Amino acid sequence: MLLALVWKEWLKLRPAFFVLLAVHVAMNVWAAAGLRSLFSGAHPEVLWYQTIILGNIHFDMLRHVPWISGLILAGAQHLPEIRDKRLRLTLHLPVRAETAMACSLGFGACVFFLLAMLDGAVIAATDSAHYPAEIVAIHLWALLPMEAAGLAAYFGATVVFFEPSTSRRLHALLLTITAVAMILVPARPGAWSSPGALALGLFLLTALAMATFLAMAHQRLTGKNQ
Amino acid sequence: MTNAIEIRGLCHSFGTRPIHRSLDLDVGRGRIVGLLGKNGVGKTTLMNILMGFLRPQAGQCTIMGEPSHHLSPHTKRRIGLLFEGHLAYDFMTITQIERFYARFYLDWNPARFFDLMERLGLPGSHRIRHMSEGQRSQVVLGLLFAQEPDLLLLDDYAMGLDAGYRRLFVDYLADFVRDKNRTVFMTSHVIEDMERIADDLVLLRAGGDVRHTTLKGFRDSFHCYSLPYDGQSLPVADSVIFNVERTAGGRCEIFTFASEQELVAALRRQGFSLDGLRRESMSLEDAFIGYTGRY
Amino acid sequence: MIATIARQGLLFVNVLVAAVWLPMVMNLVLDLRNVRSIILHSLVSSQFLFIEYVPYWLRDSLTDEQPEFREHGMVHRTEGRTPISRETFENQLPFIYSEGMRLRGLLPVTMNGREFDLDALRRGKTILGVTPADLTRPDLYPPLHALLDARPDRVSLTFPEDRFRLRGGLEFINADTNAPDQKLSEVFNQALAQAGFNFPARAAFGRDMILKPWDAGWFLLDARGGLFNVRRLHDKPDVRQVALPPDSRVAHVQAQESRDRNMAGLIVTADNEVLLLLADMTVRSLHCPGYDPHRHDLKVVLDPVGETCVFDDNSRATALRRPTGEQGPVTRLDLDVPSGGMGPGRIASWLLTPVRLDPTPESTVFVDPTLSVGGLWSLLGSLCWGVVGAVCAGRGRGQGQALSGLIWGALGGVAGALAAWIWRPEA
Repeated sequence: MLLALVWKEWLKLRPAFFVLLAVHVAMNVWAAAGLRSLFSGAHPEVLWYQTIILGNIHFDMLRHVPWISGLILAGAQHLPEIRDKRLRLTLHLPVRAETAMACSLGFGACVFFLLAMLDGAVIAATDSAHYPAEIVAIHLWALLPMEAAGLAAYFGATVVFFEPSTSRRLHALLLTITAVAMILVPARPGAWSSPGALALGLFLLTALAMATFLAMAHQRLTGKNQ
Repeated sequence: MTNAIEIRGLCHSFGTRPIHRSLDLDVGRGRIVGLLGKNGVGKTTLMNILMGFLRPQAGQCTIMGEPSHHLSPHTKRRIGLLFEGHLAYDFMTITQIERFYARFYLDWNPARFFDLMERLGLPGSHRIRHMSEGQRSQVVLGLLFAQEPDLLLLDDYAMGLDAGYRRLFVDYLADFVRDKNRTVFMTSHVIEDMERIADDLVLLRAGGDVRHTTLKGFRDSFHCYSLPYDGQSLPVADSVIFNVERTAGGRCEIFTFASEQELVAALRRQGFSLDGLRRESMSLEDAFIGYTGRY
Repeated sequence: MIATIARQGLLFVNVLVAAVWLPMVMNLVLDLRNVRSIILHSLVSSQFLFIEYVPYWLRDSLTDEQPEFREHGMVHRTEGRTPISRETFENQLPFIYSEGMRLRGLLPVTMNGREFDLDALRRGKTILGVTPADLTRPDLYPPLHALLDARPDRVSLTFPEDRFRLRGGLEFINADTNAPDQKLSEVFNQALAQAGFNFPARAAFGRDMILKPWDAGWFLLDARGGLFNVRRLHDKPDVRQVALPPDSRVAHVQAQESRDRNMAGLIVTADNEVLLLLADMTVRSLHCPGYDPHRHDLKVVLDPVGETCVFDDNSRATALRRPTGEQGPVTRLDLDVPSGGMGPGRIASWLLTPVRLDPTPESTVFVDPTLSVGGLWSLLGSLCWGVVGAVCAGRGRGQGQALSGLIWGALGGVAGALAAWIWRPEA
């Protein structure tokens, strides 16, 4: 049954995943090409200075890709379920609603992680050719809030899609926007590596993920089912 | 457990408008029950409550002994739901949707599904979103039957279907239900289908008025008489006269559960002449309109 | 159960994001800028002068003859709080505003019996500083440091082709090959060892840039707390130990090479003492009692006659003046920063959001969420919105929801109470 639920999610997500995969690959190739071009046109020690002291990153064009990806994944996954009350089909499956939600959310998050891992792997691989480990590490730390914002957008959009009450939807939308904006607050690469920052980010993501179960629980109350 | 559905003291309103007032209703196992009523009297509300998507403001509603909005997965497995508009996962193909649902139901009978799909004449790779409403209803019907449920809740199964698909649906349903004594609770605006298949009727009127009766009992006890109408005054509903409607051709129709003698006495009491009074034959649809009233 | 936990988690998220964004919005809408006062010492009038920003809620307290001295809320004052014009202010600070005085034909100027022309004024002033964020910067930046070739025979500095990191000793990484340069590393580590450096190196401090008048090299803290200066001259190491006072424990070295090549920066000790680091690697103690490096911005202004230490935060500024050679009295000025006070706008802001979260406080370069409260006004706001939250969330829902509304209203203010009401369970 769980496999069937996961398979259902894959059927919905498949087209969007491949499109996003292509987009992520394209953006990463662009960033890698840009890095190669930088190193062929400037002294390496100057580029090291720019990234270490000035905090420049060659993959800044990726900044908004993860949260947009999160929104697209949520839309691709959940819009087919909530159109015309189709959510009732899932609510009536002989599984607990929490199980169905966990499968859905877990699969969506895994797909997002795949895209995030791709970004991280490409950045690490292309950086390693030109930079020492310390700079590779700081670049991965710089990528972390971008990907975390994507995951927050995915969870938040899921809450908005599943919550039947209009006032709560609006509030959830506001929370999602402000949480994503907070994660993307301008900061130096690596600024999110402090324990307080990591704890804050982890808590935001966990709470938003759990809120999807709350929205799902409300589906049995109002008869709207979107 | 003899009742598939038990409703006690159900109350629900939207804003200040009461929909159901202390509704009590039992649906025995093996019965086919049609829920009838005009638009806006609470059929959809009751179906939503039974299906577990709307929590009533007061009262209890149990399905197979469990609260309707808290059904266990085991009980959900025994209930087949047909949603208004023949909802289905339209991003799946015919083959995919059968494969998906088969994983959830232990008694899954694929032969029932594929029998109907053969009649459909579409390949297994045909996506459901590319089907017409009638074609989709056949898929939904196939899935419903393959599930082998003990209880079927059908919300406006006839919506969007032409006469051919409707007849197919009703014929299949009749055969399916008689096999293994299944219970059906359904709504529809097509009254003649109820005549073909229903055992019992639940008639809703505005303000929470409910009558639960057998189809035969309703047909036998609810009569229609017509009287010439001079355009001045109509008989008034009372303890004998249930409803009065004007008709074309200068007559009015009087509906009653009482005997002819009691009706005659009531009309005399109201000062009406009995000249031209005659009993009219009614189809179930006529009786339904007579019971619920025209607009 | 899951729904209950999820609801409380969501309300907590609401409190967190509201605690970040609502104060920002209110600061913008209510113009609650926090502008620090600037204190300087005038050799011309032998007193402190300062500039302060007077927020709109205090401007009525200024008397009528002062409007011409007010520019966008900024007021220049003497130590006795007498307002003066900007021109008068600048004319009493020739080391800072020498160019303006030149344009006004006021040079040369005589101070303490000495005549100063434009060149002498420029050369006579040195300003060094350190902020709380500087203390955390070394932890954030990738620990790869450029040891410039500090060749005194060259006009401008250039980046070397390598950077070093601390792996016990120094390990140089060549940028062209992106690989360690073992030979260079050995040369420098041997030089350190010969100078008495105790490995492993614990920290490195320096100014990683080429836009400076000269290069003082890097300062390395050894395993026993000793501070060593390492420079590179024609690719050869030059290592000297810094003459720290006994029992001094170095917390931070702010390398800042002065234009006159006499000063290399500031040292902040673990006891919050400030030492002036001279180019010959000797130190001189500065007089900064009350300075907290984790809270205050510090500015040290050196002129031919004395030194002025100014440290401030958003609410208070302190300046201490001591003549050169540590002879003569120390003068001190303490000021409250007017915009740091509790005006009606700030009171309203604390009442609406009793608890605040600043994800990027000024005191650090990290994202380091920092909670703050506004004293009595926060308490009043918490009480008020706690009650509102309890009533709105609890009505018809029972004591549990009332308690939830009370907590989130108290913590989140208006946003917390509103969210507790929106997300209360169905009746």
